[in-house]
Amino acid sequence: MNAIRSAVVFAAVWAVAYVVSVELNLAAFTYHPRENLWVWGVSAPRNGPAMYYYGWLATAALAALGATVALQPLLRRIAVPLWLGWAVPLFCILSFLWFLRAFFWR
Amino acid sequence: MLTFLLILHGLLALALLGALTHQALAVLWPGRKGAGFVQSFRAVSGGVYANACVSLYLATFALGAWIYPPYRVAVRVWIERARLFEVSGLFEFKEQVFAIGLGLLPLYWLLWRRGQDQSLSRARAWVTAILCLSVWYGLIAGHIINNVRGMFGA
Repeated sequence: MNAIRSAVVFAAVWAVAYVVSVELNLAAFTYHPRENLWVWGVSAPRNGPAMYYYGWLATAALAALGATVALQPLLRRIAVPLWLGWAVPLFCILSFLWFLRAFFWR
Repeated sequence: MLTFLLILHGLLALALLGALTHQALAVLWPGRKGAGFVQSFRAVSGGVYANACVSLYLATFALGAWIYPPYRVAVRVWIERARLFEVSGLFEFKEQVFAIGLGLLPLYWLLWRRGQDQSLSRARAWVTAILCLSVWYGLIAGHIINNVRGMFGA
């Protein structure tokens, strides 16, 4: 059951961390596709667009992994509600409809 | 090469869509075997699809991430110049949906690994439904973006 609890925490933290990472642009690294160049942290576009997507994923993964490991002692004692594992990601997915509304309503 | 990878990405997504749809219907709306096409479609043993779904999700995601830079450099620029912001938004939403879905995979896999545990059935149904709807959205959005010039080029 501890594995399930860990996976619930992982899914919830991943989703929240990903939204925060995208909205505050906390990319762990930036990819410049025209130059095929990887740069640590957030880097401004140069000679073309900068891609933060991979960096956002890395930030979310690090946050989720870190939180899941850090919360292990707590997870052994406390029953984490299962619904957190799907409700938080679902809410985060729906929140992107709001964050991306400028694409659809002009 | 890029066209090949794009088609492969689409085919993997299609396989994932089929597997997840079978599984989602089996868990949300179970059917009886041998009672017609729709019933049989829903009467699969959902658990046997879990490993395939995780593998297909990861492979489709990885391939999508691999072919993303050419989209960002060439296709999105064209879409923005054509002022097709809704189409660009479809893709933006797609990438965010799949990024969050990636974090759901460990839970999804564990829930199906314990497929007999009835206390997990609600969570199993929700997680599977979220992933299934995500893939349906992704395939439709991807199809529109893939055909953007044919559909909106004029």
